[in-house]
Amino acid sequence: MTLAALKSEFSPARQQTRFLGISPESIEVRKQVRNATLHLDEAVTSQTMIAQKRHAIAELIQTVRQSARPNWDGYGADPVKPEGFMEAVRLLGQLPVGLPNPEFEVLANGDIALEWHLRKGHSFIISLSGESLISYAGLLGPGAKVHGTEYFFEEIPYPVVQSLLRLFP
Amino acid sequence: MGPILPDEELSRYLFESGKFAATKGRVKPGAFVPAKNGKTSVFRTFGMLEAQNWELGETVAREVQRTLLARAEVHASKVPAPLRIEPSEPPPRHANLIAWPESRDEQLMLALQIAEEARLFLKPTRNVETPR
Repeated sequence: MTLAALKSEFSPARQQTRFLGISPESIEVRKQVRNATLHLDEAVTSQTMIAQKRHAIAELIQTVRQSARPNWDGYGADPVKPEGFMEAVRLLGQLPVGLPNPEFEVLANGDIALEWHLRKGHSFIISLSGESLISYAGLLGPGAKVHGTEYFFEEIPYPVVQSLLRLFP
Repeated sequence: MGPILPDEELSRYLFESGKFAATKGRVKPGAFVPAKNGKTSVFRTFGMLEAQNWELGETVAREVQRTLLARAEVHASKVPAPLRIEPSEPPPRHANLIAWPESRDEQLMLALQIAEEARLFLKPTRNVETPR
């Protein structure tokens, strides 16, 4: 059942039609249903997020498979770096909730790139080398350009998160 | 061929589906990130008919033993500084985008800017007549 269907099933309008009684028992039952609905919303949201991450990782794997051999692009590219792949998986797990999945690319030097493209002039790209470094560049609207390189150890560096949240407020 | 003119079209032939998003009609920045030699190979296609452009792409594809999938086209005037377009024949009409900065993030920024201006052309599929 989809999140929308579940929300409709437990909508206040529906509940009102079901709980017309005003006895203490009916009020208690109503409270319990409301609590259960809240938990259900959380669980379904969590499931949706997990499915989204799984889909992203499946796409990443497909991209990596196409770039495993030297000269995979016909222009002499290096094969994809396994360490970069591991970093990309780790980064996907740490992306802010609600952010759309990126598109994946392997670059000529074997780095893995994650790109978010909203519309012309609104794009952000990250490159992962497997050396605990994130290089990034973004066009975040008229005249707003950002780029830089940061260490990527435990958490996604703040400038990267900040740029993504500017692109997807 | 002579020096590059600002209104020239440059074609980057694409042999790998990860370099473009066909459904969105978009070229990805990675299509322009320089190779290990610090250059991005392009072809000067001004004055060419569409069919001739694809023919040139097929010639390149045979050379590199790949299947041509698409091409990215960008006006020479849209190639941002400090990049330069340097004619580099043979093969005929070949040129390179050169003077890429060393740092990866600056390369990404330039590639992103070129990709924003590039137009994607998918290789047309040939109509095969069904025998009666």
